[in-house]
Amino acid sequence: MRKGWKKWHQLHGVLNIGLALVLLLVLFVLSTRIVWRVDLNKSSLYALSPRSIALLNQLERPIELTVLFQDEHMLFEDLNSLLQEYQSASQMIRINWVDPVKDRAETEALAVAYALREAQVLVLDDGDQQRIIRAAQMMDVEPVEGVDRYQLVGFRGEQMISNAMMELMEGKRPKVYFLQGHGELMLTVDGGMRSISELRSMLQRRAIDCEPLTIRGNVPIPADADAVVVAGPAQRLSSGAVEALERYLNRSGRLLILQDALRESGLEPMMRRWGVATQPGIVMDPEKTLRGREVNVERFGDHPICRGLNSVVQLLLPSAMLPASSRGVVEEADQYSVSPLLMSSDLSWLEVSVQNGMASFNEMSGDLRGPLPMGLAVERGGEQGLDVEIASSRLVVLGDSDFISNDHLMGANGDFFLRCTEWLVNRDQVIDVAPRLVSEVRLPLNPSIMRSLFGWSVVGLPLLVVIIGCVMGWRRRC
Amino acid sequence: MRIFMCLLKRELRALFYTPLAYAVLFFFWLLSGLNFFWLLQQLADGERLIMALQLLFNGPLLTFSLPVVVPLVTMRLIAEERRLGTLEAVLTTPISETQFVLAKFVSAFVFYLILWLPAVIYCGVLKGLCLEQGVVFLGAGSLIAAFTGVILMGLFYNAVGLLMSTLTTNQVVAAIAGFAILFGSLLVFMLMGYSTQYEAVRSVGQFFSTFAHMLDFSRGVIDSRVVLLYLGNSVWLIYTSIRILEWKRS
Repeated sequence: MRKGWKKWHQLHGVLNIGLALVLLLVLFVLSTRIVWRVDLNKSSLYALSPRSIALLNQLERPIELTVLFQDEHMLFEDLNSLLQEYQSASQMIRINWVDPVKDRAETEALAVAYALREAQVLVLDDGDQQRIIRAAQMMDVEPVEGVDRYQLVGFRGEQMISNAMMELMEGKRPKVYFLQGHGELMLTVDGGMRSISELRSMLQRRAIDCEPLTIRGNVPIPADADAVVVAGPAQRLSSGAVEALERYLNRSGRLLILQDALRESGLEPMMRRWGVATQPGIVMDPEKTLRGREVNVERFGDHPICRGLNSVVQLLLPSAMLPASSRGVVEEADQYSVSPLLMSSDLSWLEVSVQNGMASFNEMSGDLRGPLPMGLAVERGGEQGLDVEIASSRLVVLGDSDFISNDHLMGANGDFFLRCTEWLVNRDQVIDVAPRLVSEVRLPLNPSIMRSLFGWSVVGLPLLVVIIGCVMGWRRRC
Repeated sequence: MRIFMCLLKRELRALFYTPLAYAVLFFFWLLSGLNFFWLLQQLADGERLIMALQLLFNGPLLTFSLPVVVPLVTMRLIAEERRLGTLEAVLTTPISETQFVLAKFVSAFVFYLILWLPAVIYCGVLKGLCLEQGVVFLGAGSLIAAFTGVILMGLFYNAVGLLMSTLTTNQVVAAIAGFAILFGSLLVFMLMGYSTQYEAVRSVGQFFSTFAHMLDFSRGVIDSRVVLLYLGNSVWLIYTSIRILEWKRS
């Protein structure tokens, strides 16, 4: 009887432990459904903004984020922490980590699947569409004084990822028309040296469709155009084409003009009306050139297009694009917002008398002293009221077209053009989360402070334990 | 409650009379000091201040020493009483198993908190150094979250050690078993969470990894799932210890 009771008691104990375990498991399952997560760090780099959280709540289908990053990369830890927040906020986020060095086969497969040219990228894929975010797009860096390295000063991971997600959710692919018929750069491979087929592929990877556009007579620009590009016309545009483009621009249109030096496109009067004055001549920048023909642009304007751009844009024999107000052409220039994008160096100048052979600055012949803008962004209008929203008109004018051709798509050339296009098609405005400022704190600890800190942290405190232990041992014996 | 407090005082007194407690304190405070010195060097080399708490609370020296240190303290809790034969004597008194086990657990937990005392001092030193440089040190929120992580991890580690001590009469076996479970799980979940590309394995690893949890806590993040995981596990382990003791007593 006694033995039976003991067995029953033991079984009862085991059952209790088992039931408690089941209860615990149920609690764990429930805890994954109702999540409360709070970031108590006020200067957190990773806490998601309410707009991103609202966006994640609207996700209807899973988005897979493939993180092709090495763990030694400057952004790896930041990205890891940020993606944890995304994953915690939504069960629709799936993250696939791939180390491009350790997982070579997987990396190669991804490179083929997403036409990747480089590692350290983040790929967002919702099954239908993809977005690729490069590391450079997520960070603001600046050189460290006296040391040959860059430091991270801003992390814009949330801005880029949330924007890319919103683009995937919208599903609409912007359509950009490239004007043809006046010797412009061609979208097809058969354009030879004037082909921009690689750029077209880049745009398509960013889910922007490109179509050729021929304007005959006074036919308006297609209504489905999100932007129109006039890429380096070799001949003057017909008056009908110019009128159509200006009409389009005036009606909240988006236009990108790539105007080569010493070429007249016929768009100059319209550009002047929009606050841009073209100047005949070529920008010479001996400090920023290796062969004399190109200008390596490293100075960028304070504009959304240039934000975070930290590589070189290489222009070929560029022309200067000056704000019309500075040339006294437009009096009411303040009705536009004109921002420089690409700037030459202080030692540059605009060589007006290019036929003379030798290029040298000569103020008497009309040369202009640098720094000179070689690209401008113009924005006009745009209103957002309670019941009405009028989109602004946007114009980007760049002083070179060759820099986007297949043969010259190097450095940040393609990235810069993509940024211009994305600004034109409104991709900059989706979620405007300010970059999180990263502060590198250098504690200038001199050797004597380090010695004293080492002394009391590594020697002093443990020694204190030994002394207390000895005293306690002695007291116990006494 | 009075009985519980008496038991707790007895436990703490017994703990601080053993040389092992001082050896463990010396060992852990030495590692904490080295970890702090390493953190200072990192900051002097330009490491971001936001990483300071992560390095202070989740430095490799501390992460890997805790699974060794905690079982050394908890191994004697019940196993020693049983080995010396004092357990039966204690349990014949009106003391319940719950009071007995809880007093044992709380005494080990108090010792665990003393282990982390230097971290509090180091936070003060860091704040002073930052003030000297005119830099704002991380807010109170981050510190609260970091210490919440330390407390939750302590509850779990000590509860594992307590259970191991309940299961055996041999202290060495209890210590080795506790070390194997804590160190093994730390290593396995860390590998699962950080070195695999399979999403499911990675998620499971990071969900259970104390290393990942402490990273979150030390950067100011408190997640209800993690809190529940630690509290739930600790309560279950203590409950199991009590039931096992009841079972053995019967």
